[in-house]
Amino acid sequence: MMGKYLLHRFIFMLVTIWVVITLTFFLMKLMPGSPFNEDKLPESVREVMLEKYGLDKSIPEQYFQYLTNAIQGDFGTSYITKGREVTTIIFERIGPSATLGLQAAAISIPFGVLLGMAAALRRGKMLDYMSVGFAVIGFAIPNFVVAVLLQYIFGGNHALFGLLDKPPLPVALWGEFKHTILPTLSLAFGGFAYYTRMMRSEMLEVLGQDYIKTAKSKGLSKRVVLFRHCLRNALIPIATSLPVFILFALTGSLVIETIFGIPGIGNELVDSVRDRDYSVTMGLTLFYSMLYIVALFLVDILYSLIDPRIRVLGGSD
Amino acid sequence: MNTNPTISKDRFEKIDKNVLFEGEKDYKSVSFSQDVWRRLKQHKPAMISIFILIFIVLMSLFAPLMNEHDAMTQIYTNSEGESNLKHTPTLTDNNWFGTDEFGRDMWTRTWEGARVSLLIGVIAASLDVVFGIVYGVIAGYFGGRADFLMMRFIEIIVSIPNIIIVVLLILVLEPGITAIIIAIALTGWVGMARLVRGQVFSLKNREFILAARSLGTKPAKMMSMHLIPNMVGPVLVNISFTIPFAIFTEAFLSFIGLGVPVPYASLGSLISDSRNFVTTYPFLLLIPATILTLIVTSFSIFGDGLRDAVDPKLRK
Repeated sequence: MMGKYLLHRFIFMLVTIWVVITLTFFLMKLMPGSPFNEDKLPESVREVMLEKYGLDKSIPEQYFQYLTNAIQGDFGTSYITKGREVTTIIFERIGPSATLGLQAAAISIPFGVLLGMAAALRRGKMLDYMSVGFAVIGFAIPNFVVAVLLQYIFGGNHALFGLLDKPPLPVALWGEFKHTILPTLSLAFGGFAYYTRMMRSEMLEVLGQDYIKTAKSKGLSKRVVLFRHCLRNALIPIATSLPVFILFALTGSLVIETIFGIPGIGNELVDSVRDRDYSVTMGLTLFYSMLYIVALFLVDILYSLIDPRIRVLGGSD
Repeated sequence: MNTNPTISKDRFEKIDKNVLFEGEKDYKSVSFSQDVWRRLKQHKPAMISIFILIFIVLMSLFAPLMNEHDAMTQIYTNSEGESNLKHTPTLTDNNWFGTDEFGRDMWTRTWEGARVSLLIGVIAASLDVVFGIVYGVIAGYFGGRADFLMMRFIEIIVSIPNIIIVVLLILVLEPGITAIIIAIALTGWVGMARLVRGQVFSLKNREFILAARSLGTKPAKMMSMHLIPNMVGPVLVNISFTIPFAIFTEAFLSFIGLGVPVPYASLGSLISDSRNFVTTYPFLLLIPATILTLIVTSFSIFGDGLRDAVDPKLRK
């Protein structure tokens, strides 16, 4: 039963990856203009360039080449900066992105879970209203606004409103731990609000279940009911959201990295969009999508391991 | 005993249907929309949100007319009146929200930007609705193999990160407001289609559908007359979440340089432009950011209230 389900999901994952590769390839063909269309370029040079990048072949041949390359983890080469391979870019840039993302996850998940739990247990009290209010507003403020605001507060010329001689934290630097503080906080803010909201509604749902009533009426202590019966079940969706969150953490945020000038993958993607370096955009996109698809597959496995109901009923659809 | 199956007409008496019999009370019939409105009125946060939204919509329509400035005129003099190629952003009595670095009036730009953001949100959400309903109803109504294929297709779309599709589509379509709307709509309809399909599945087995079918109703009429009107509630709730999502996406696109083209403004592009001045002129950021946050928060609180009002069973 389990094996069959996993096989199903696995095949589906492969099909999805194939669709994504195909889609990226044809979108790239649709992009306005060829990278070597400049009038100044002599015809002979142009031909050499086209041949070098395999653009002189027929579309099906190019497609097949692209497909085999992508499967082997070769996501193409930049047309603008000579010889820069997307795979190299990823290796160079994943460090800062991962640092930021994991730090943000380490803040937002535990705090979100705690606040959400506390809110659910104090339902209808002050703490509950405050955390719900925080969750709603925190989710509505875009993370780039948070980022720019933090830059203003900690890096503004007012030097923390006249308390200090110089701004306590740099606005855009990379290298030391203290440079990661502001970007981490901006990234963590939305996640914190999201997990608070999610944990609160999960806890409320679980608290209303019959098995909690049973556990209470058996005379179990509050602590046992809370930790063994409530928390375990309420944490299932949090646990299953982890692969996607980790992926998000690894690949970083496009906007936050741009704002703080962090040399990560997200920043590279935004730069390639600005420079119209299509092959890099496409390569990074493909990398993102493939990771995301694999993460979703992991979510499915994790879900069916933790919650046997999914296995029996099949699919989370 | 009268065995004649046809009862002669003279044994019937015509009465006025407004006449009440003994013990019968006069109940007013309440339509679905009245019922929803009645419950929504009791949800205070939702009512406050709706007033904020109406206020912002009205301001975005009329506020640019309230002063003599327009959004495009650039001024190249500084506050002392000297000619200067780089105008410094200022807050003056004359410009209610100040000016940007080109001396353009921020009051006008902000509200016109809000108009563009709202417009993008509303149009993208409407396209989502149309496409999502058509797709979802067809999949749900016919079921079987068609449904299986259509749902697999949706699963594939869902497993590609949204923002990436949007970025790629805009690159292909050439940046501009239309491209933004199309890209957002093309990624957003999936949620709506899933919702509608689920609704169709649960409505399909209800008695009134069976009745309509046994009367020989054709599929097209069945969908438009019986199925779609019965899912207005959930669809409306979904819209109240897709509009802020679209506004958010647009703001994000402005930030990575794929937003509305240059002389025009949206809330996102205003926030993005303010980035270089934030440490010295924070008002350039704070005003559009506050309006953006107000719009998004109001929509989501209103959506929560509407969901409770449409289906009181869901209230937790």
